[in-house]
Amino acid sequence: MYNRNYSPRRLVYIKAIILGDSGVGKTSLMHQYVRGTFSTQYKATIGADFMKKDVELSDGRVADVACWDTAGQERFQSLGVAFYRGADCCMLCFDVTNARSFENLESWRDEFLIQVGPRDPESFPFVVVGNKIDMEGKRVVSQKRAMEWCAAKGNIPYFETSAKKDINVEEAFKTVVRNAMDQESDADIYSDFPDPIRIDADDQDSQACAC
Amino acid sequence: MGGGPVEATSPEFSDYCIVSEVASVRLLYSKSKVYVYRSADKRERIAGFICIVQGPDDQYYIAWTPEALLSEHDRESYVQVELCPNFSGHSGAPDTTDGAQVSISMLSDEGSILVSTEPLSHASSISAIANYAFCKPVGDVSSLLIHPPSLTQWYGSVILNMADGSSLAPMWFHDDESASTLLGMTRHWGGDELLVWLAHAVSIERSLDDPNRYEVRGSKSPHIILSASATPSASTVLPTPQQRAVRSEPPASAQTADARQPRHSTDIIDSAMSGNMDPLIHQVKELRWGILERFSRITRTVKDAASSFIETPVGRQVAPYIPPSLGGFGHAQSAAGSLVKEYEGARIYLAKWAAQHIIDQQHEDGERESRLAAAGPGAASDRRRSRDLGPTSIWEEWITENGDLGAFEVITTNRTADLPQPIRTRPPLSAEQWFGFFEPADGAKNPELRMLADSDSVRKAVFAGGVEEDMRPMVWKYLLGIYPWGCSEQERKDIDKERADEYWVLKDSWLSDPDLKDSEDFVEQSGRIEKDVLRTDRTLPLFATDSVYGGDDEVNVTAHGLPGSSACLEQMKDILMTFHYYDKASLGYVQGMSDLLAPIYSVYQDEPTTFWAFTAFMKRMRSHFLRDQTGMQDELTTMAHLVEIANPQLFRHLEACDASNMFCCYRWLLIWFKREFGFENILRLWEVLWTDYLTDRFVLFVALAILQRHADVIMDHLRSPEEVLKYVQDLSETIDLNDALKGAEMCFYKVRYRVRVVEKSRKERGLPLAACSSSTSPDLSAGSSSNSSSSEPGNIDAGANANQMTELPSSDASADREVPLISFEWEESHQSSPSVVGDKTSPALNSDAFSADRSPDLALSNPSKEDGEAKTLDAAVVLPEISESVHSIFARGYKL
Repeated sequence: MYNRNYSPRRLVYIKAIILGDSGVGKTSLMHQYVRGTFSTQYKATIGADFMKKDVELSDGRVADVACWDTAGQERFQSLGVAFYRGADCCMLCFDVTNARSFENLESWRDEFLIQVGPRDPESFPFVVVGNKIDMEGKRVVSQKRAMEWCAAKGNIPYFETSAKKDINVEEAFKTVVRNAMDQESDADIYSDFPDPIRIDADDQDSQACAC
Repeated sequence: MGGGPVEATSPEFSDYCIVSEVASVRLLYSKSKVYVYRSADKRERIAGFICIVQGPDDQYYIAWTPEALLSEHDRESYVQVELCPNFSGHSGAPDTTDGAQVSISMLSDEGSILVSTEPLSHASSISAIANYAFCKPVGDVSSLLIHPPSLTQWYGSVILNMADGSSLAPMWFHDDESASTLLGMTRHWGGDELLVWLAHAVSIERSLDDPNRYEVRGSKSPHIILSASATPSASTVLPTPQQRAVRSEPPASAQTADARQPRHSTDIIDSAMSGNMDPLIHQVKELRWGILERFSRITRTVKDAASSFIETPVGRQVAPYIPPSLGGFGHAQSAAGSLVKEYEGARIYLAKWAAQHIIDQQHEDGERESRLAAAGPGAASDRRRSRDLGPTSIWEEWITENGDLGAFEVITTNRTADLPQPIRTRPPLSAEQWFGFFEPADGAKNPELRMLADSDSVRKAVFAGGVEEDMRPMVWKYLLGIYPWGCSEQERKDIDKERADEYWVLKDSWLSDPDLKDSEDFVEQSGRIEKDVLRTDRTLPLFATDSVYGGDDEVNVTAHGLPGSSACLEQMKDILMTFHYYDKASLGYVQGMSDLLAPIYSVYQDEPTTFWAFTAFMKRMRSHFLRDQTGMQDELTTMAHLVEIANPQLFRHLEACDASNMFCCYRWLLIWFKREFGFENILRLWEVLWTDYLTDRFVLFVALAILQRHADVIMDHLRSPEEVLKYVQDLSETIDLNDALKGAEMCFYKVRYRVRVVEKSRKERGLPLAACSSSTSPDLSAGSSSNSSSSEPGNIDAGANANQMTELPSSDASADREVPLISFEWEESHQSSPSVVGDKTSPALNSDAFSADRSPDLALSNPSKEDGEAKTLDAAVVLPEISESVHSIFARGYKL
């Protein structure tokens, strides 16, 4: 069976929540990541939906990732807790052509932490995604500004993406998934199945994704 | 694995290159129902055949041809080859087999040939489709991108990347429609089969970078590779160990390509056979084709089979259903510890697949209904029978099949009780009928053109059949309350005029206010409205991008990140912006409203009228959009209560799944199923809901009916809130509206009946009528789960009650399992309350023994009918509580 020729290990479930203002491209990011497709025909998300994807990291760990796409209007935030429950990581999205969507990251993050209530909010795995970089001419949020904000929030990893052109989408998801998996204790993951080192353990992440 | 091993005859190359005419090619492999999607719209999917052919030049070609382009003869050939791809190996005289040859006209255009067969009459409509047809030399394929079916993608796809850098449109393998799969000729995903076939013509290697990518490494010699022993038959695609051994160590006598190039072809075949399709899906497909009937019928047997499938450790449980060769495969996977997650996927897969049966059932019911309608009133007795087979039988199954006792099951109706017939069987309201409402019965004049019929009969007519398209603009104004029911022609004109004037004033107030346009609120909301409008129902011609405001969508997306606009969409934006400021004090614009606006706009296509109709609609929908979401909480809470009353087993299952907060219905309810039905059906659904005929919360019963339809599948297959949510949301566009509406009506009667019985009994025992509705409130607060409702008195008591009953001496073996039901004669039609009778109809229950032996204990068989009035439940029966919200649904006056 492909991907399963090496030592078996327990599969880790990761619940990833995608947050951000409406229209920043959350649904597009999810579809691009999970299906590798982009459409101009996505509808505004009502409530929440999720898609699943198997992810294999470069070190051989395998995760079953559920990406939760949520409605973007803050009006629906109070629903959050129902959908955020059990979240392992969170992708905060904004649109580099929309300053407001960047400014709102703060409240998305705060609200998320309040509703999820992780044990250690400071180290909860976030990733920030500045989407729509294919529209370079319309950019209003500079990379520097975004990175400064991320640095100030405890060095959140920052990615500039284009869901349309499939730039950096995989990398952003993979990073936040890996960070989420790192939060699981090693004992948790490996206690049952001592894990031999894979010969290709030094592969780049980009080569390691299994779908 | 069924089927015999491959016949190892090894025909000569010449068998394959006999081409009788220049325009003929030999069809070697074909697979039907391979779709190209022209757009996201399901109607834009083109079914076709993917095939591998051998051209007159001995080259191999891969081709895709739309079904519509095939002549009858060619289609037969395609199907024949599909069902028996290696028949030539068996026949011994392949050149005489007509079925293998199809005519293809060669258009030597850069090496590609376009499949175009016999002359087609409707060429113009076909030409658009023909653009998707292709026929390329296999050697021109540089790589394949293969996405096998997965949890999130029901169908798998294959994309061909060509050597010239171009890519062909994804081909989606709808195996569940494809003849070879349906007939059990093959058990493998079509994409895998294609890959295996291609691997015999060219060397293919799986990409190291991208596991979905298969690189083509140049042609093999065509001559020997396609010998029968190397072609995968249906029975060999998943190799048995012996076959695998044969492949890697071919006998010297077999001069196959495998012998010459064993590595590539073997690797790729093994990979395609076992790796590409998710092993889980693989197994489930095995299950699917192998025991199709057993799983698809929603019967008791299937339920038992399916639930045992779930309830025990998954890996082991599936084994009995899997053919031996696969069984070993399953165990190996289990040992690897990787199956657990896959079986979670299996549950959704199985559930969806079981749901397919429900969808078919809906259509069958609908067809039967229309046949009966066509047959006229004389078919009444047939109609009667059809009711027994149709939704009603499902109804009764909910009750009679339930094995254990829930709070409400003790008061279930008699199995044969005569429920009110759903009235939702009439044709849509026609103009003639409509104007009939304005005609005085005595033939007098009606100079003011006031509606003379009472509004109830109008609403009933709309409830029963909807409204004909032409009549919607007029009828909707009444339904939405824009026109008072008794208004005159002049008053209607005045209303239209006043409303139009008022609209333009409202619109002008924000449009011409320069300060406002700089405000943060304006910028934010206009941006939000624009984004939402530009992604609302864009697949409809009405909302397509036009040349004035739009242009090319691709260009627009590149430039602005949004598709283009149109005159209609600009009007929609203005309407929503006007609504935002009109309503700003309370709601303003909220996401989802654009979905609510589009159907209304489509009917009026006029700014002021649409605005007021929308505003009227929003009056009843506003609670859904409140900032604190209390309106939706109330909907979901009430929904949960209704499920508990209508189907306690389902409710308990949802509780066990941690899904009893009913969030799975959130999208359904928030925008009234806008995303679940096609546009035309939404118009029909909404006008029915607007009638408020049985209740103004009829939408909840529509949701309830759909859940009921799928209750068995949900209970059998789904076990987590995520699975329930996914399953329920994925029902989108599979629900039969008429079936749902009829079911909703019946749910309403059923629940009302049960509520009345309980409330009457509570009253007589001096218990409060309504419970505090907070006890089963879906939990929106952090930290607490929805388990709270499991501690509701009704459930505990029901459990205790059940225990008590099973402790009683039983006169037959089945009594331990069978729960005594207390049944009521259905007397709704006489406007009287129900009366208690002993259950005489449940066949599994020995009712005589029951009444003789147990009634003293339970004091059930005491149906004193002195006043013909309804009996209340006996004191031994613990009464569930009826929540305030449910109580109020039925508390208001009702008509029938």
